[in-house]
Amino acid sequence: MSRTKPDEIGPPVPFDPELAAALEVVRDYLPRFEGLDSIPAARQVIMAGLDTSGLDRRVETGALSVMERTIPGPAGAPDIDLFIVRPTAAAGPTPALYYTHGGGMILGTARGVSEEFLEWVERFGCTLISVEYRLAPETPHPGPVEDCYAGLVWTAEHTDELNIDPDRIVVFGSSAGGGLAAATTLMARDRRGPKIAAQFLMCPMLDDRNDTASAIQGEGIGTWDRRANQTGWTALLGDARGGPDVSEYAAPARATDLTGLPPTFIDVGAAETFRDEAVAYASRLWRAGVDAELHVFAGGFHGYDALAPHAAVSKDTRDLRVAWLTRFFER
Amino acid sequence: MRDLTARITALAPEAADALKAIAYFDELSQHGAGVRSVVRAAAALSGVPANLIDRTGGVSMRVTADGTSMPVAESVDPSWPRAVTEDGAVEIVLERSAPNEAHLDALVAERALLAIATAIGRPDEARPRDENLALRTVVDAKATPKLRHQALERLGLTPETEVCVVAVRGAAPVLAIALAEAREKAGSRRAGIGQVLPADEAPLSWKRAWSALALTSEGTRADPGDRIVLADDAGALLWLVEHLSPGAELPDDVTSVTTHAASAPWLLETLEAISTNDSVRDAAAALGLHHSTVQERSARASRLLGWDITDQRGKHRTQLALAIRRIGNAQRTNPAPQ
Repeated sequence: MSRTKPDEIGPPVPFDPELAAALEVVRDYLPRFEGLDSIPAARQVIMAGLDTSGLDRRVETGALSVMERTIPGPAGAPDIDLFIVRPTAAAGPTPALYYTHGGGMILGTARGVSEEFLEWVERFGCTLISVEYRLAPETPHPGPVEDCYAGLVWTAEHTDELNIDPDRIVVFGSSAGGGLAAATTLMARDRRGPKIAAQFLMCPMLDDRNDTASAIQGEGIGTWDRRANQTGWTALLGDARGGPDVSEYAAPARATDLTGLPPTFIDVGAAETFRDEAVAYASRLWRAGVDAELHVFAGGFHGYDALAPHAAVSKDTRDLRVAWLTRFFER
Repeated sequence: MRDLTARITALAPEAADALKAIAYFDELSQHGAGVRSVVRAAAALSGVPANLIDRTGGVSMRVTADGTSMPVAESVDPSWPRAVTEDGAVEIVLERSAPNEAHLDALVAERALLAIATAIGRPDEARPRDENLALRTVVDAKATPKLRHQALERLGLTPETEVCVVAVRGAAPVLAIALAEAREKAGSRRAGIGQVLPADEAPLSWKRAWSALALTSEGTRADPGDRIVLADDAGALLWLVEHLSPGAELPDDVTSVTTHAASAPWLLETLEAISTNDSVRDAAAALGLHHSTVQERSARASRLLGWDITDQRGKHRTQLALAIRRIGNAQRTNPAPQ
């Protein structure tokens, strides 16, 4: 038997069987992210697949209500739209879930609130505030993250009007949204801004260097591979991507000081591009003395829980998210 | 939660649902998925709860379309779509109260049963015979348009869906929606791949796939060449396949190649490499040999056969002889389709 050298990167981590089957079925129809030219087509595919039926149904039955607000953007920048969902029955101030949507920094919309998050709103009686930040490459860094931060500041300044509890604002996001949530949390700490009670990062996009073992292993397979990741980061940072001068507010993995951050939840798939940067971020949070929890799900490619929600590993992922949120809100 | 077929349809509106469902179960089996994953797939793909009753193992389970395991249904409605093994021991039931709404149910149930039978080590009990029958009807040039359209509908296809047919010796026709998928489905097997055509013209794609199959080789030293041949690439050679009478006397060039190959095991691979590469140097690279070795072989081959195998005219002559040799071999070993 030959053994690999200690530092050698092995073959790709195998996908979970159910996830592999679901991916096989839709693989040819997923948007391709190969360079900036591919972005308009990918945006169309994602917008065409936007499903608001779960929210529409809950609004019709009167369970949830939707409110849209246009608020001032960062200094010198356009206004920002906030998309706000809350339980109609909420009496007193509710916890707030401040949401930065995903989409590789280059696509997606604040209205893309998944069924899972609507279930949280109902289960925990939360108000969900989703921010329509500007996208790259039209808006490079720091535009997108400054929009996210401005929306957070406005939210924290309008807790009475929104009927939310200022001590229970959770910043959350998935993929690029996870990276933006982490960056917004760093900004809030450094600028002595709003108090963030927790950051909740699902398969977060944290590191523009794009050179971890998990990124290299998964090149050419899965949903958001190393090349797609290169496209997203290049859209946001241009030629600065991967260089020495990238801000931690663009790529939170660049932060040199993670002390003083709020309780953190991180999850990620073991067979995806972001595995190693998510694991590294959690390790560094613990090292900095932060209360953090990390789950790495075997056989998961990027966004598996959205692509194959019926799979056992997707259900376990949702269950563990709810379990952490339950513990957090019951504190 | 939106069921998986809706998700697939949204992502892939032009995809043939039936082929996608088949691909899903195939992939599960290939990855060694367990029985519960298969039942969950049946529920997710059909959008209704799926039940498994395994009387050999005393196992029963019920999974809803969002993937949640539930207590088994107390009574099974006899009108629900189902698939049962030949011995009646294993059964999969989809809880569809109005079965006419979703013609994929039968296919999903059959495929789920096959995957389950595979997972529990009894694949022969659950061959989806009907589906193969439908496939054969789709590619049968003699089937009436009405029959073909019924078979297409059974497979979840329309006459306009673009498909290509893959021919593998000893196997049922395989439908694919793109050449890349056809290659994937052929895998490492020797296969001919027909052109992509509207499903209504599948018999032509099937015929061309069979013709292309006659042009394949084992890809070994004794039988060098391509294991997969696309009808699109074969050009006029397809005409030759279809018009060469079985048992016809073969040209002297072919007999000569065959005779000399019997005593010179290096001959066929050398002819293949020289005739399909620009230079002796390229041929040597393809063979993994030093170019002086190939130079020497090519001189010997030219002497044996009586033509210069390295010039352009000689290469064509070699290629034609090799092609006719393959066709002759195929006619001896491959029964014609149907």
